[in-house]
Parts: sequence; structure tokens; C-alpha cells
Amino acid sequence: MRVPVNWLKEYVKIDETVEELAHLLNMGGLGVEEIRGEGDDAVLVLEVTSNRGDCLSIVGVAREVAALTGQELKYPSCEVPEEWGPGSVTERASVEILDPDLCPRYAARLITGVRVAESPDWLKARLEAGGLRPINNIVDVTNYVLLELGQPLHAFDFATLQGEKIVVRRARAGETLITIDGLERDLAEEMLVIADAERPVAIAGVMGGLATEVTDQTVDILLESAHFNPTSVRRTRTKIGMSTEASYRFERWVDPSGPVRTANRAAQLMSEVSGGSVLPGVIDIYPKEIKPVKLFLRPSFVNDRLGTNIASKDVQEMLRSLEFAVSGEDPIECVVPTTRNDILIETDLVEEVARLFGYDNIPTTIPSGVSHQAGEGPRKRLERRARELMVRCGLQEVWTFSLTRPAAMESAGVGNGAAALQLRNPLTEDYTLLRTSMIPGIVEVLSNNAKVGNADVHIFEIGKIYLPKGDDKLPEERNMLAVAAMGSNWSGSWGLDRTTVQADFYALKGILTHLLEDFGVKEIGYRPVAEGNEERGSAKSLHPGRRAEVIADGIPVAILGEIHPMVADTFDLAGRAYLATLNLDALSATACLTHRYQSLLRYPAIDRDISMILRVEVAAEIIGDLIRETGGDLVESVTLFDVYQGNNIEVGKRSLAYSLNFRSPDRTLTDEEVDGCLAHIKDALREKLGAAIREG
Amino acid sequence: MTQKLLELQAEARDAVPAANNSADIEELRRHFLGKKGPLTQILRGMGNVTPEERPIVGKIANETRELIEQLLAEQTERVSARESESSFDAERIDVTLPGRALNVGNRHPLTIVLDEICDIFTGLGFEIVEGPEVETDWYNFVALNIPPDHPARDDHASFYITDDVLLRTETSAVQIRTMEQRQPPVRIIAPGRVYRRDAVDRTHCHTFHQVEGLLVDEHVTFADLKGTLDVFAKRMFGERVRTTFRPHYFPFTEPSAEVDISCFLCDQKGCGVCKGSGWIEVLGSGMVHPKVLENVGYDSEKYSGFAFGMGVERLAMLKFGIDDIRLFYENDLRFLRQFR
Repeated sequence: MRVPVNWLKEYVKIDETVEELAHLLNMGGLGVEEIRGEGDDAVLVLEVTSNRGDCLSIVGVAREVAALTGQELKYPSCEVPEEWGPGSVTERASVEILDPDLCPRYAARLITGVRVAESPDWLKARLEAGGLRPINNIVDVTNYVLLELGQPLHAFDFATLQGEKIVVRRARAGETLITIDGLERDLAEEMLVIADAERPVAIAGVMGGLATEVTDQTVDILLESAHFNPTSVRRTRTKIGMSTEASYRFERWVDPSGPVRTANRAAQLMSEVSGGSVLPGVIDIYPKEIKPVKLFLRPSFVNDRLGTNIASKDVQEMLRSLEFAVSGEDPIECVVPTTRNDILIETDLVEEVARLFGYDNIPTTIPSGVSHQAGEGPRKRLERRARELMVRCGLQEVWTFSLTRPAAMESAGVGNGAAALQLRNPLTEDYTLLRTSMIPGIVEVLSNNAKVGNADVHIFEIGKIYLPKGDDKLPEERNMLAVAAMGSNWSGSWGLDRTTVQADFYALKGILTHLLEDFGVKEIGYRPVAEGNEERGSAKSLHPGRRAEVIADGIPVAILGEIHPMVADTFDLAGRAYLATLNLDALSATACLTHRYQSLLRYPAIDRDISMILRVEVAAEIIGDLIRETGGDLVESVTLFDVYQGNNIEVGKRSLAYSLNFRSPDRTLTDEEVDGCLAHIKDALREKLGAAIREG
Repeated sequence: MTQKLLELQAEARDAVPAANNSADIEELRRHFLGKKGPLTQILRGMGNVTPEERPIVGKIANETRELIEQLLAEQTERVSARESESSFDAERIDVTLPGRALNVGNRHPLTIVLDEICDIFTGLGFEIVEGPEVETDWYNFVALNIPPDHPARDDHASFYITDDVLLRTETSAVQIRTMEQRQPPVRIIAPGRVYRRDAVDRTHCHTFHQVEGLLVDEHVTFADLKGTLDVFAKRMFGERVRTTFRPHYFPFTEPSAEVDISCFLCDQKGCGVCKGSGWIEVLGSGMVHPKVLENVGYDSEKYSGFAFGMGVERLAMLKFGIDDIRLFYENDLRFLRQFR
């Protein structure tokens, strides 16, 4: 809303500079977004909140200024020189309201013998300063009054109205109207229209019709000044898909006491600028009177809510300055002016007092009390712990959107999005549904980084996926962790073997294992995902020979693997890349973040190595388990330190080397004891797994 | 003989310090003290010395031996120090070669700011709660005093799933869900992801994050709201920061206020960030609307409360001087690694 300062000064005395005025309005509740120009030529651009329809006019703003500065408000003259006209309006025209709920009041005047022409300069200048485009002297006057008093008006070419009649009614099925912008509009039955004896001639409160608009040939004007139901106007303009200066005000509230006064003001100006005569009398159909709201305000309530100590007489004075009719001490009886539709309960009056008292004058205190619930809950704590662990593992956190598109899901091998929650009204094709997997988002981050030359990317994200839940209205929002890696994660890697610094399956597995151990998982299993079993956990995104399902204490919680070469290709990833996704919610029930101390064993340990060759099909896990099982309590730890396949090893076999740590909690072991145990282990490896043990 | 011994001393004083390595020193040791060396020769000739002179010569001879041994010992120390020095020299490394370590992982800048906000409020006795991002119209709008056809819905362009289900446009919905489940006092903050059907540009995004706060109890005042948010602003942006509260309109609070902080970048001298005004808008807040309290079954006469909401991206942009909201979601490592 634009407010030219010199126009404002016609209604209220302003001693302040423009900057002071802007500050005053800002601190009083009318946000000044911008000051254009300087001094009296300045225009204030106001942000009028949707509860303050009364401030969508120059006089409305002047009323606020008057209340804030203690000055007096001078209303514009609304006297009509009607005695010049022949006949009276009620003899020439009639108005009928068929739907008083949607149109509680409709006033009309007739102005005859106008000469439609360009407006005088002063009028054009005012409209332009107010942000409107001049059209002709008749339309310009309606817009002038709209800006001045906030009442949208409409001027009909009276000669084009069939039956010299206005009927305010709902549209009938199948009716259409060509509006003044030249578009043919389909009218729905819930829309309120202004009709003549035969057809709709305007969409009430939104826009007039082309057939009855004022043209160069127009001689007589029927001027409409009405109050329409805000919700009805809002629904209609939403349905039609446009917002006009008129609808903007009607849907926020136009003073129901104003139509006659504003019609008079416009008639007066029209006769002045177009030479027309105003017919005596005004039609004013007001079947449903809107009565002012009456409220009681307790000064103690004001002070209890604000933390202030304002006297009753000061409260009364403030409300009076806002044109409330005030009586009584405690409670104070307040009659709310009909310009305001936002004052409905006692608390609304508290706000009026607060803003006139000045928010800056309200004291500053700290609420007392200690809360037994302060802090974060278990889920949030788990999330924080997971994030900390990822960061400790050297991964960079990323945040991606929850909104995605079917194409991204398909490229990433996580379905086509058909099962996902779809937006009914997406803004762009890129974001049409809610993700059901973390994979497309995090792979996209790898891809986007590769595109800008970041080849080494080791990242994680903690976020939600959204899984529709049968007949439930709302989906399951599952908290997930996603990890992805490609290239090296070393800040410098000169002198290191290239293959050891590159991301691989085992690097990610190591990180996941750290996490699961941190969460107190006792049994962590990694199972290859067989072909045909990919559905579980979106394993289709992963290389069929290099992917695993992660089982934590019997529950599948994660998948892990190398990104499928076809997926990598689609996302333009140059080398091999790896990812994992983990269901944090599945772990939250059993997670145990506090780890009990285990005593340190004091007796010396004895180390022995075993080196062996076996078939590659024998999984490392089986070998480790067999060693531990056979060795029993004496084996403290089993550490794999070398895996080799290639030269000097038969095809289909590999060499594995383990370091075993023997220790007893209650005595010093002898070499004989340990060697005996070692021999058992070697026998078992030979017999059960066909291992060839390398001796010496 | 005395003369010979003195000459020997002089010879040793010249020769021993000139030895450059341990082999030369050993050679000198043999030369001076060996079985065929001059000192041994001289001592063997003691028989020719008169009994009166013998103790004198013997004394000088011992002094000479001690001197030579001392000189050799000193020289050995000197030479071996020099020799190990040269072997350290051979092991010299280039200390200016780059260091080698696993990269440090960092939190996302939005996490950093969110953690900071949460830490401040949990320190003030608030509890962190969460709610769903996919919400019903009731929780997102109606219960917050935004009935259908309310003009305030214009400010909340929403993504709908069905007529009744949408992506929440604010974390305020969590207020209602929390209050429904418990009686006052309630002190919560609700961080989370929200959605608006806005075109993406430097300052707008369809997805962003908010932290909502709510405190409901008996006799909670607007002054309490001011005090709490003033503490927050000081912790977040520095003790010198001041706050000012401007009237505004939110359907779920009454009175409502927008909160500005004094520009911490220019100390209110005027800069690009505060657009010359000296103030930066950072928060929306207000006293909880009685209708909202009544919607969850609270007695709005007995209880009052305040609520506030802030945009995490906006605070992060202010704090770190970031000028484009899109950077947060592009996840370019060159950007993310700047935040520790």
C-alpha cells in the first residue's frame, strides 16, 4: 500500500519528518517497507497485515497517525451538490439484494450528463502516486475514493443496464461474463454477481463486466458502493484466479458504515471533474445491519498479560484515540468502530493498548521456574550421537531436499515414485513428490560435486523418508542416515599407496560398524544381497556383487555397497562410489549409548600368527568364528592382517593371515599351553575349511 | 728425561686436537700410549735415573700420561658428537612437505546454527520436541486460528497432498500437538523442516527450517517474551546486541511482535545487511492467542503464554554472511568445508 505523504497531510497534521513518521508507524504496527522520494513528495510503501483492512486507505492510515501522535483526524467532505439534478434516483433505478448474507449492504447513486474524458492533472498525479493507472475521469474518481477511503466503487454505464435495475444475486448455472479485461469467465453458483434485469454485469467485489463499463459514449453513471462478505469475495477471486484492488480490500474488510458516505464523496468528485449532475437521493439497501462489537476490558487483565502497570484512564485514552466509544473505569466498556473487524475479544484490545503504549516501553523480565522436561529427548539424542560419530569418522554433513522427482528416483534405482506421496500442486517438475529413499539425494550430491571438480567426496546426511501408511492420513516419517563416498578422504596422501586411500566397500563398512558398536549393538552381521532379493532396502542401486544387508541384533537396519555402475554412469560419477543407508528409528528402541567399563586384563598376552590358503568362497567371517570357537576363552582377539590373491597363489584361492592374541584373566599362560591351543585351531581350519596352513 | 716428557706433552697438545675422526684418535692413542710408544720407552729408561731424581721424573711421567689420556678423551667426545651430528644430517626431512591426515568431518552450517539455537533454549529450560512434516489442515492452520478462507493463508502458499493433508508451512503446528498431550507449564522448542510453495531465488526456497518456541504457564507476560528473546539474541549474536519489538500480525498470537536485533555487523552505523537501518528482523513472536489455548482445552483465563518462530536459514545467513540460500542445499564441499 502506497501512501503519498502530502496526501496524508490533508487529513492529519504531521510535525514529524518522513523518517520520524515512518519510525512511528513501524513501532505502531504499520510496517514501512520503503520510503520513496523525500519530504512532502515522499511516498511510504506500507506492509498492511491482513487483519487491518481499515488501513488500506489514506484516511485509514491518517487515523493511525492521529492516534499515534495525538493529532486530530479531519475527514474529507462528503457533501453532494445534488439539488442540480432533475428527478430523483429512486424514480430512475432500483436495487434488489437476493442474497443478504453475501451482500449485507448496497448503495447506489446516479450521475447524469457526464463527459467522459481524461482526468485533470491533480487527479492523475494522485492516482499515480498511489500506484494506480489513470483511465478516464469517471473510473479515476472511483479509484481515487478507493485509495482515499478504502471503499471500492464501481461505475456502470447506466444506459447499458437492462431494466434500469441492479439485482445482487448468486450466479446461475452456465452463466458467463466477459470482464473488463476482455476474458470470458465461467461463473459458478456460489459466486455473487451484480446483475441487471437479465444477466450478470459484474462479479461482485472483484471485477466489472465489459458490456456495462464506462466508455467515451457514456452519459449516465450508476455508481455502486457496497459491502460484500469477505469470505465470499475471497472464494470467488480464488476460484477465478485473480486479485484486484477491490477484491483485496473486500476480502480484508470494508467499513459497512461507509457505503453512503463514500458514494457521496465519489458523486461529488464526479460532478466536479466530468460536469455531470448528481440525481437527488441515494439508494441504500441494508437488509442485514452489521452492528458494532461491544467488549469489556479489565485494566488488570491488560497488565497481567503485558507485565505492565498502566492506569485505567490511560487505557481509556488510548482506545478513544482509535475512535472506540469508551465508558466505565473497570471494566472499561468499549464499542468497537465498524472500520475494525479484527477486534473481537478482550485480548484484541490488549494489543491495541500495547502498541499505543509502545512495545519498547513494556519492561523486560525473565520467566521463572525450572522444567523437569528441559533438554532433548531420546530420539534427538540418538540423532546427535550419530551425527557426532559420522563427523568423528571424517565425513562431511550434507542436507538435501525431501522433495524429489520420479526421474531422479528411477535413475538411482529406487523405483519410479509411484508409491510415494505426490504433491497435488507442485511448483516445478523437479519437486513433485516426497522421497521414499535417501539414495537419490545423496548420489546427486556426489554428482554435483563431481561436476564442479570435487572428486573426493565423503559425506553423510541425517534426514527423513516419507512412507505412506495404508489408510492413515499421514505417512510414517522415518529417520534415516545416509553415507556416500568416492575418492580419497585424506587431506594429503603423497607417499601413500593409492588403493589404500581410495574409498571402498570396507571403508564404509568400518564406519557403519563404528556406529553400530557406538549404539550398543551386540551382534552385527553383513549379508550379501542375492540377486532377486533387491527390493529390500532399495538394493537395486547397488552393484550385485558388492552389496550387503546389515543385521543388528537380528534386525535388518541398513544396506551398504558399491553404487551400481549403471547408476554411477547416469549420475556422471567417474570412478567407483559407495553408499549406505541406515534406519535410525529401527535402532532407537534398542540403542544403548552408555557403555559399561570392562576391567583391563593384567596377565601378559602371547601372540601367534596363522597364515593359510583356502578357497575364495570361504567367507572371512566363518574363518574368524571357527578360530574363536576352537580357541575358546584363551583367545582374546583375532585380527586379520593380510589378504592376498594373485601371483603364487592358485586360481580360486586366496591367502589370509591372522594375528591371534592369547590371554587368561587369572594366570600367566605358558608357551606350551598356547601352542597346544594353536595346534587345535590349525587342525580345525584344515579339517573343516580345507585350509592349507603355512608353517614356519 | 724431564725434558723429553715435557716435549711429549707439547707434542700431544698439538696432535690430539687435530685428529678428525675416531680412527685417527685410536692411532694417536697407540702412538703415545702404546707398548712401543715414547712414554713406555721413557718409563723403561727409569733405571738410569738417580734415586734422588726418580720420584720427580715419575711424577712428571704420570702427569704426562694423565694429560694425554684426558686430551684423547676430550677429542673422542668432540669427534663422536660431530659424527652423530652428521648422521642426523643424513636423516634430515623436508618439514615443509604437506601434512597427512584423514579429513576432518564437519556439521552442515544449518546444523551448526540449529544446535546453537537449541543449546541456548535448552539452557533456558526449554525442551526440544518434534512433529510431523506432513500435516493436516487442522494442525497447520485451523487450530492455529487460521480457518479456511482466512487471508493469512495467502502468506503460506502450501503444497497439498490431499484437500486435508499438506506439507507444514510452519513448525507452529507442533505447538498444538504438544499442548494436546499435556497440561501447563509447557516450555518447548520445535525445530524442523517446513515447506512453502515459493519459487526459488537468492532468499527464498520451497524448503527451509524453523525453530518454534512456546511457553505457557500462569501469569506469563509480554515482558517475559521480551526478556527471553533478548537473552536469546545476545547469546546468538553477541552481548552487545539489543532487541526491539514491533507490532505485527500473526493469527495465532495476540499481541504479536516482530523482533529486530541491532545490526551486529556495523554497530548500527548502517550497512548492506541492515540496509542502512541499523536493525535486522530476525523473529516473529507474540502472546499465544486465547483461541489457540482453547483449541487444545486450556483455560485461557488462567493460563497465558508466548510463542516465537525463527528461520534457521535466515539466522545462518546473517551469522556467516551467506548471500544465497541455495548454497545450503547445493552441498558443494568447497562451501560446506568452510563451517567448522
